[in-house]
Amino acid sequence: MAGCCDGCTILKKDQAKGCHTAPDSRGVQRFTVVLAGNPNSGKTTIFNGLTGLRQKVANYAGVTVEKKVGLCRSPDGSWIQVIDLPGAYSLVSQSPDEQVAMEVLRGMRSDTPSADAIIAVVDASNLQRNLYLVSQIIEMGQPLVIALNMMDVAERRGVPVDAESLERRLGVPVVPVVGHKGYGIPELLRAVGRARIAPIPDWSILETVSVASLEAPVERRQVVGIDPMQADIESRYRWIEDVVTDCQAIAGGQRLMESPRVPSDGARVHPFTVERMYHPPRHLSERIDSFLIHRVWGLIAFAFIMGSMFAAMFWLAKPIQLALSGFIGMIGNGAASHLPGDALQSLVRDGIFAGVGSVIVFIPQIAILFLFLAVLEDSGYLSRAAFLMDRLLSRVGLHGKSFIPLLSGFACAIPGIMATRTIEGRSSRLATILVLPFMTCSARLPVYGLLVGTFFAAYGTLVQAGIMLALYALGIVFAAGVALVFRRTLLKGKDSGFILELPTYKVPQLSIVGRQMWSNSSKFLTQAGTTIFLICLALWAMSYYPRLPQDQGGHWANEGARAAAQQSYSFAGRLGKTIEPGIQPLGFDWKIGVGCIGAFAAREVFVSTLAIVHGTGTDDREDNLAASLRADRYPDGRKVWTPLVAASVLLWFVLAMQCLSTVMVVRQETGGWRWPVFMLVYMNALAYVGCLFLYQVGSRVWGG
Amino acid sequence: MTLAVVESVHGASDLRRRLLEMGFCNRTIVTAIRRAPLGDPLEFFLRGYYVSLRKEEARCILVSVIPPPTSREEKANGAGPIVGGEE
Repeated sequence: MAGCCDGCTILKKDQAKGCHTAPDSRGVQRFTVVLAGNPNSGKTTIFNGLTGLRQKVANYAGVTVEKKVGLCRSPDGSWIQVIDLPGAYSLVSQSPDEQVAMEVLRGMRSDTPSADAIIAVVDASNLQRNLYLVSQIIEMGQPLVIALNMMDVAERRGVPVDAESLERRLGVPVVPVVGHKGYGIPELLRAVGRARIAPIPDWSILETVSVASLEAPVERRQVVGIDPMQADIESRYRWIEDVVTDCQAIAGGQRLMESPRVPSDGARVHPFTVERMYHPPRHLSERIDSFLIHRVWGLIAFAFIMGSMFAAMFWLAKPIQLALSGFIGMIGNGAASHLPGDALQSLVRDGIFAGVGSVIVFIPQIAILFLFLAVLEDSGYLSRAAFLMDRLLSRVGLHGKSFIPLLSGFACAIPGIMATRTIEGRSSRLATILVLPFMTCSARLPVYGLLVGTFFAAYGTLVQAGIMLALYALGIVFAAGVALVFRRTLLKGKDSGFILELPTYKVPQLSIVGRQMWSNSSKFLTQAGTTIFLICLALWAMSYYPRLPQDQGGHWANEGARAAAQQSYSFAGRLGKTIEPGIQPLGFDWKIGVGCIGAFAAREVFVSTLAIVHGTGTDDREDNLAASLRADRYPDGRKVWTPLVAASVLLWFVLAMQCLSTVMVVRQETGGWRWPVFMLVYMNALAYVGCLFLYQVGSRVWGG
Repeated sequence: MTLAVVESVHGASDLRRRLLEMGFCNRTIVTAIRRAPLGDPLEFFLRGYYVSLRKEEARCILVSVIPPPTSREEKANGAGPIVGGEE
């Protein structure tokens, strides 16, 4: 044991990772503890408290459920591997999260070691529903410790829980903890150590309560007819009500003395239920909700929160993006100038550093977006946002939880697609992913800006703004329409519904928010970043080779014209010309075709590719590019770019699926090639038909 | 805010299981808190926590409405769907 584990204490994080990804590589017997609990029970806080920085986030094989594994030092000095299970309400799975939680607890997953002990995290302020999962885990007959979390909240609400009587009733150790303050974590670890060697109580909840469930009113059983599933659940809750009455009566004895207002048929209602549940508590969270999901103020607050998220993404990130890409470009030029040979220089400057640059420009925006998402999620507002927006989205077959991912799509489709993991129903999640790229991402803005500014400037600022707005609206309309069609045809599956807990608000924790933002941003960097980078390299090679024959080298008026000729001679230029007959009916010439090919790396590459093809250089001299676009003519003297052509290209950018990194992320998130390929085909087909229709009808009506 | 006692839960098996598991069973008392600004879903309070359900899901839960002790109006005490039981 000493070899591997002592190493971890002094090694840096990445080496520690290697240590627990292969726990048995040196025959080390590592003890594995699994953290289970309801969503919003504070599991992650306790996980962080146990493992500190020694943790790693990956995926369970074959599903997009996050697998969080960490290392923790037990009081006796040995290392414990801690697995943070996804939140589950029940072990009878209804969502992928619950499926995984159940499989890990039962030791059914080959990619995860089976648990030596289980820590069930229970929210003391929401004892009844949390104990439902416990009632199922207890029956698995494994060493179990209850971490009674949020004791402070329970006390503040006047429903303190007596841990000792809970322990007596459950027959397993119960340790009170306040996760976010780190209280009780050492005690929890000691209890786990003891539970390992203690005999496991062998009992079945159902046996202990079967007598009680028979006492259900006879007339009711006659009317409803109790099936085994209902009997099982009801017996568990009957047992829970009994346990809760016991351990809250002692702790909060005084409250039970208050005279409850018993309803007219109170005789048939459990006295505890009446006492506690008659009125929802007037605590802070409820007061916040009476504002944040108020029918007027709620919507205004929602618009404000989403608006500031947007403003931060665009205005806060902009200067950082500019500075970063300027910096990268500078280094690229500097590095290239020290290199021998044109090809090597160009590879470094226009291939590698340009590629890195086009990845880097997304980072500030993505990081800010993930920061907002993490804060919204950890504070509890995310489920309120879903509550507010569900009506709107359920009409087109989506889910309230689709809203935030779709909104993220206005920055970039990739974080949006990653954020769809919170949607439980597979059909609504897939539908959300499939329409997400219609949202106008920030990479489209340079394209829109160039074309609208160049070809619609004559119509005035108001018209230009109107066109921009219309492009955004068009994306939303198509997303809604396509979602509706898919949910009626391909993805008919009934939704999992909208049974959504509205958890107590809490102040977001820096450690959770920071970690979430970091792990998501680095996931973006590795998944999208590598794709964008590789495509940039490939595009560079395609437009650099083959070189113009030497004897033609001297005929060019200037460097720009030479570069344009090179571009037309290169593979990219030839490819553009090859596809020209296919895109001619849309109003595109081969140069636009080359631009659209370039856009597969990232949509904004369209602009720089056009600039190269037109020989205006890759610098940000958009005026030059605009002028040469306006002047560009076919050999027969017709103008290449008319407002109609510009509109057709704009429509193409609204509808087409070009961004290959999005395709890669969809593959990752849906676990196969089926959906990403489908997405690529259907969106581009839609774009082709749309542009064909627009250009053909348009040129007949307005004569081109 | 309307209070009601859960009488029974109906609907498709998956939905019914989830509703029962979330605590809509054993004649528990449920408080209807509010509707979302756009009319759907609805928010409920039961067993010490808040949960939201779409109307079509809430319709699967049959309840008896508890008349408020100080209520001026007389409310029927018969069983009806949780949505219909409101206002």
